[in-house]
Amino acid sequence: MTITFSDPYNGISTSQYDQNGFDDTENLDIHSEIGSYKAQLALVKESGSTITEPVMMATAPSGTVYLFSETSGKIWKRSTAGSYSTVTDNANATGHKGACYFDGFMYYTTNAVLGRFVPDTEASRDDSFGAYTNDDELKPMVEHVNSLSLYIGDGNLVASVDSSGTFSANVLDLPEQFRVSEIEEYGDDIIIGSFVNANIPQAKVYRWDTYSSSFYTPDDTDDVGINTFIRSSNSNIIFAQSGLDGKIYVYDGNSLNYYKEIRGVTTTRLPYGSCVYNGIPYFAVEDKIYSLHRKRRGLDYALNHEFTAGGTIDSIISLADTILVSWTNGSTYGVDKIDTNRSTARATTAIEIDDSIRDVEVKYQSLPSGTSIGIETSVDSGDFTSQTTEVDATRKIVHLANDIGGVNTLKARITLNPNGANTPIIEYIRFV
Amino acid sequence: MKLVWKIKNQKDVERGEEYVRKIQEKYEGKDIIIERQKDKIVITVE
Repeated sequence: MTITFSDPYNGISTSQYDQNGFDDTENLDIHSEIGSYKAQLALVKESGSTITEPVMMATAPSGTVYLFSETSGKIWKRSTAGSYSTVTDNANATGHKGACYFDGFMYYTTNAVLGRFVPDTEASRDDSFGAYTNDDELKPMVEHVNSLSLYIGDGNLVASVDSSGTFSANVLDLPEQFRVSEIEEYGDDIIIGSFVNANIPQAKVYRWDTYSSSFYTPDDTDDVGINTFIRSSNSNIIFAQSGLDGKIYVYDGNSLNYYKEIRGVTTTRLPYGSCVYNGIPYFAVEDKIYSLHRKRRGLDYALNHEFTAGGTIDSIISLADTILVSWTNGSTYGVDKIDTNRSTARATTAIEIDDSIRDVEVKYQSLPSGTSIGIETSVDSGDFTSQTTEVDATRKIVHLANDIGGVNTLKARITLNPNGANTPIIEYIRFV
Repeated sequence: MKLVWKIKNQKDVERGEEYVRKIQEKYEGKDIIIERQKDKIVITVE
């Protein structure tokens, strides 16, 4: 009997027994050419030694990116050419909790005070433009085009700056126990993700039209907080990454519907942890960037681990030609961009329960000079063991050099070893 | 700094006064102008 693992565009499946996808992926590109997969471009540190603290990022219309320290008043900026420089510190030096461009100004906030300046020149700077009610440490921000306003979470309140530059501390109230953990545009409305505290498994999403006295159609999950809204390229399809263990919901305008779960990760609130790049929604978990994407209607949104950063990710943003990823690794900090070279990638199959399996075949479309395909196997749920392989260039197959013999269950992990910008391209994995 | 506290209901009236006190404490020593209107409190910190 043979089992073929094809359809890589399904991404990571529901469990290791679900053969309608991979058990796991790592730095894999499954969307460029549907039906095949290859090593994704690597992330490479761009910020050199300039960035010395964890930062969150916001982009000005010119393409200049501002980087705000999460632990002090330090501010840096990145030019469109990719060079980093220092900007005068925020006088309210308690660490930034949010940043967003709105209506001619770059806004940045600590837990207590909102500041702003004109981007690129940093003119008309005012580090104390607004003051909050709650001084809550969560300060997600969103520019809402329809109401020409900037909205900022502040505990159970939403504050705003309108197009006349007026700061209002309480344009919306949530019930007292909820704290705004995330805000996103939703068509003409905004949606507000919330968090109670680390002891309470309750997270509501509130939808608000921005002018009524209160929200409508709140819906909840039994998770500890909404961590990140993940916008698709269609603004009315929003995913919500929620809770501590990787749950993902899709929001339909009224309710949150359970969609998928990232297995084996720990998730936390990260309101500046998602972006859309080249039409693909990306979001950060630990040191990984996942995509949730489908190449055409009719397919499911596939969960896939696409990139790995230099440390735990603090924020991600997209530009026209790259994703920028800020991260912390112990006392080292940095900002990565997408490289021209590719990353070592892995694809792990689901478990096959079949005692007649003797070989693992990896069918490739392309195996450029200097690249290679490695095969590891896990027999009867044991540890992965690297296997000696042979290349059959006529059939375009890499397979085990020796009969695997006598297994009850088998799982294979395929490694795609790139050479600079070149990568193996795989069509399927087959157990025979 | 110009700050607006919106009054939509009686609860907002009470919390608005708390917000005024907080701003007065936070910016003690600065000139603070408070304008109480029907639908909002406008606080200007000079």
